[in-house]
Amino acid sequence: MRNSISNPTARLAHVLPLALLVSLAASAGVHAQGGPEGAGGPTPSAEAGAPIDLTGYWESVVTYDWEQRMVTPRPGDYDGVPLRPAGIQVMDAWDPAKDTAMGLQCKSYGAPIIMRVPEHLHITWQDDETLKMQTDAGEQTRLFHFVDADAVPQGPRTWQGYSVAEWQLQRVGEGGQPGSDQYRPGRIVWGNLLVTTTDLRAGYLRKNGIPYSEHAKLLEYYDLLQIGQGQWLMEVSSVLTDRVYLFIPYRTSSQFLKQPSDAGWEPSACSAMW
Amino acid sequence: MASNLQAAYSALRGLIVRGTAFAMALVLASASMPVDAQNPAGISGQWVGVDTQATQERGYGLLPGDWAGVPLSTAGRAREYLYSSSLISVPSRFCRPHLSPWELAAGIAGLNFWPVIGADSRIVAWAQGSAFVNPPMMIWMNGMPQPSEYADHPANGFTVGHWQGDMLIAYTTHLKVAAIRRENAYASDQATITSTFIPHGSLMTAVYILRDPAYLTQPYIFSMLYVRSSSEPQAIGLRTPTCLPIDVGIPADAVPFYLPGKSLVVGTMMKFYHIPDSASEGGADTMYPAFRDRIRDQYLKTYHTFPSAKNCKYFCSTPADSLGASTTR
Repeated sequence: MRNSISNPTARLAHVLPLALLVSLAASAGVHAQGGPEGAGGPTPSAEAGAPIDLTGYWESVVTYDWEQRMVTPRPGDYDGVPLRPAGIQVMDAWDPAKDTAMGLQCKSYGAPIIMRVPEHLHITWQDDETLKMQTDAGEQTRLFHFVDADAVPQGPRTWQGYSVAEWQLQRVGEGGQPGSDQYRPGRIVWGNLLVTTTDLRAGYLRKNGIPYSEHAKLLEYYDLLQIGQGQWLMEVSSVLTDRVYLFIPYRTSSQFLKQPSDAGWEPSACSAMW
Repeated sequence: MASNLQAAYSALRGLIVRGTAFAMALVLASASMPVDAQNPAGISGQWVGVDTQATQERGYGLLPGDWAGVPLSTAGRAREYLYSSSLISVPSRFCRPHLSPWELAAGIAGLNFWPVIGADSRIVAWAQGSAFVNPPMMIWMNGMPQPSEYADHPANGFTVGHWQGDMLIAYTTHLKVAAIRRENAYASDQATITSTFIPHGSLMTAVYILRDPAYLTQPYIFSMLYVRSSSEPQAIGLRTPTCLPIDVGIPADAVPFYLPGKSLVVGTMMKFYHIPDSASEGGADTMYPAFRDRIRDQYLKTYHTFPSAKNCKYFCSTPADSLGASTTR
């Protein structure tokens, strides 16, 4: 059973039983650290109300699609991508030297592909309502804004686009209709992050020139799994829709292991060829 | 204890004997059950595998000799180099079940979940079937104790599960020796699998973590995506499969293998993908970003010798309709 919290207004309708949550956190890794949020209590920020902790350093784990991710895929390899003929035409014309000359080396580091690039991530809170993700590969920065989806500002299209985030809370023991007097929010037992990204600048889905258009829309689910004592895995499930170049949504998943430090963090500039 | 495993077998055997009709009754029963703590995410039903990732691995299979990204130990690597895929064509092995739980995960199949209801109307297990005809895997939710380490290892192993929020986490032990990359790489009977099923509405992410002290140095992590099917749930995979051995010319008393250093599959990744043996032979370091630096120069040096995009011939594309698209729209 899920509830979503995307902004302070929406959160007013979702009461966090923090006392229960804190006791659960000790045993299950639930993260929320904000103040009490009962009837009349203060609304926690996105950071304080986070049901899971995604901050820290993370490293990609690449165990499948190795030939498409760890090296520059062969020219013309679009295996698994539901590419329309228009997209095949663009791919066939891929010219990394030309991209470099035009200063477009970061076309293969946009939001729709950046989580598939072998890399390290550094995730921090930029402020109470903005989660910041930096990558060492291509030195990209993504900002996840916990705002209303209809409050997306008009701005220039960028490689990372504009991302709206919301926590999806998983509860047990919920009862009644939300907003009614009978509503019991239940106990938060876990959660995940949902990120919707638009306003993208057209780029590549793979290093070998498979295109996505500026009309693409990216949906991502961030889940956290404990895989051992003190070992955490971040699972990112992505759904990219692009009516220009894709027949159907392009769905992929990527994994990252939590790192104890910044060891391995090696920023490198975008490359059109590698 | 062994008796626990026997009890699990008995329950599963009962399901198989009663057959599909009984299983469909279970499905119908589940349809009327309220969504509660026994099934917080509504995991019941049919899930179709998404083919837009791991396409080659799940479809026509990776090239022989492709172990890149598999954390093979020295022993694991030695085993792969001795293996000949002709082995499964030996008549006595032809019908041997080779669809392990791992192959259900990383293979081409979709998933099907249905609850097994106990006498107290509570869910005692989740049955996980696939489009293949092997018996479903039972994920016991009723605190079934682990069998003895000396207990038999059935085709599907022994699995217990629990919920964490909306995630169903299953832990499988007592596996048989089985392929983890089609016929490319194998895990031992000491391996375990932790499967986490994470529903996100009509999308489900499954994360599989294979640990094998014999052939792997680190956990092997694999993820699959599924979309909920609009079809009615079907209790599939309950019938005993019928297998008819076909004579493909391998003598009945043959044991195909490669002598050390003589494997014919070595070098195939270089031929098709220009990927050096240091990568294709696998190992934990091939899973991480830093490995790229070790092969960068060699790889880029020959990149220009690949055929052009328009002349890409092998493993270049999957028809869009095979990925679920209607190209006539």
